[in-house]
Amino acid sequence: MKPAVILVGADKGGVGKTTVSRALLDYLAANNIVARAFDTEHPRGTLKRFHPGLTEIVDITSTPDQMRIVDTLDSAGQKVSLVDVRAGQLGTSLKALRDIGFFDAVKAGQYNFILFHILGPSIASLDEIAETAPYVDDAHYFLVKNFVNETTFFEWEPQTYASYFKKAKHAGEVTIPKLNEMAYEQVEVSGVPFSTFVTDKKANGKAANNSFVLRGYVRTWMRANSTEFDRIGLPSLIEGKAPAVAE
Amino acid sequence: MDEVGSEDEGRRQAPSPLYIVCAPHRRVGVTTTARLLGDWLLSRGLGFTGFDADPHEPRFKQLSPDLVSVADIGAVHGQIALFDGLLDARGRPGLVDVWSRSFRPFFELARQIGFFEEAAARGVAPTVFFLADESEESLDAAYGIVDRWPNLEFVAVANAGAAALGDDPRDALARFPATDTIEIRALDSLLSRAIEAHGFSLSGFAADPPEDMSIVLRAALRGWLAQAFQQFGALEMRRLLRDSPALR
Repeated sequence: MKPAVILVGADKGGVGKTTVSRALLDYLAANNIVARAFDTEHPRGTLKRFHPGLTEIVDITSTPDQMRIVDTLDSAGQKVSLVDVRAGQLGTSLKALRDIGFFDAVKAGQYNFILFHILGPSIASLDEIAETAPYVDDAHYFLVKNFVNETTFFEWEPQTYASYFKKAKHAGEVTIPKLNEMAYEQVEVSGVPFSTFVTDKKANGKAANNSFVLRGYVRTWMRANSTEFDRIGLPSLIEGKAPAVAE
Repeated sequence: MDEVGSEDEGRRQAPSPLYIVCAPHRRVGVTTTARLLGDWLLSRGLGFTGFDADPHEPRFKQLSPDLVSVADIGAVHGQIALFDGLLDARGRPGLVDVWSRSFRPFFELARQIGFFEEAAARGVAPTVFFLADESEESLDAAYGIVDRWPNLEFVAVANAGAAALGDDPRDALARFPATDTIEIRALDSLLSRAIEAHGFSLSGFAADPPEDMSIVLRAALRGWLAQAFQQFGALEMRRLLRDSPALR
């Protein structure tokens, strides 16, 4: 079993990294892909609040925590290690992974590496692509347009976007659709994974009595995410196989 | 053991009917049909949980203020009130008046949230009463529902009072993909005004017609109600026979 690392990050805050991480963890669980997660929002940890059983809070810039992630990839028993990188630390984290030789190991075929780079609406996000590109030669690199919080991407001009997009080899696009605001807030308040909310359960497994309408919105949104992750062939990428559809 | 017992009891319970009265166009008689259904239920000693999906001119609510709530399905609060309310039937019939502007959002949201599938799982039995008109849009809208939910009870309604099906309403109605059809007769304009009067109850009239009303009007209204109520009763009977395990 070749372990896979999924990194979810952005250099801007408030673009929905943790939401995408949560969506990914739900998708992996639904596809019977065993995963663990690292939340680098040290010391708080939003991801851990929603997925406490499989999430550890780490400081990715500290050597002991880098060892906790990378040195245990082979022995942990989970197929996937998902790292939710805190705002502003994507570049730093990629540099740290390069410095410890992680990318060399990916190149050598020891690990699979998938990067979900969450874009914000401004031109600054395009600059992030250029900064990230040098680290992702051997990665499956996805630029994520996250509409969950009604980001409009209004500042993007298609030609500019295309010129930046070309700088990243092997880059693909993923779109996370908008989720009804009230449904999103209700899941926030519930503090459970989206999948648990849909099944109307609390974190302790008891019945929650959430609105069917709100659960319906979340179910539809999860289905759309699942279609999108299927489209990019995520399970195949995790297995190290060529995706069914081009990225 | 108690839980098992209550679950068995739940399985034995008859499904809770849910009547969805709707049309994609205005002035075809949606509220008249919803009102007739509500009064038919009341005349049989049943209550109902009613919703009026027209937040601007909630005529159905005005006619039955104690039994009907207004639900604006353009807002999430309204969606929760309506759909969660209809699913939480507890054996009481549900009745919703879907005005023309809410028609598409209602069925689109029902599709998105899996409403009819959840209704089936919870023992709620929906029947759509579709007020037909002669336009192609009306026919397309009917097919849109039936194609999406082929197992849904779908009743095409011709309301002669609205004269929306042209010169030959029966032929026009036959084009609709319905499990059943019903026709509501036109009501004399004098009677129409009388039943629109504030506080006038059709089921109250059926049980105890007011003595100060003209005998001619009473007879006409009684005939109009009887024709509608008999058709509702026949629909229910046909459904019971269809669903009866003894007749399978």
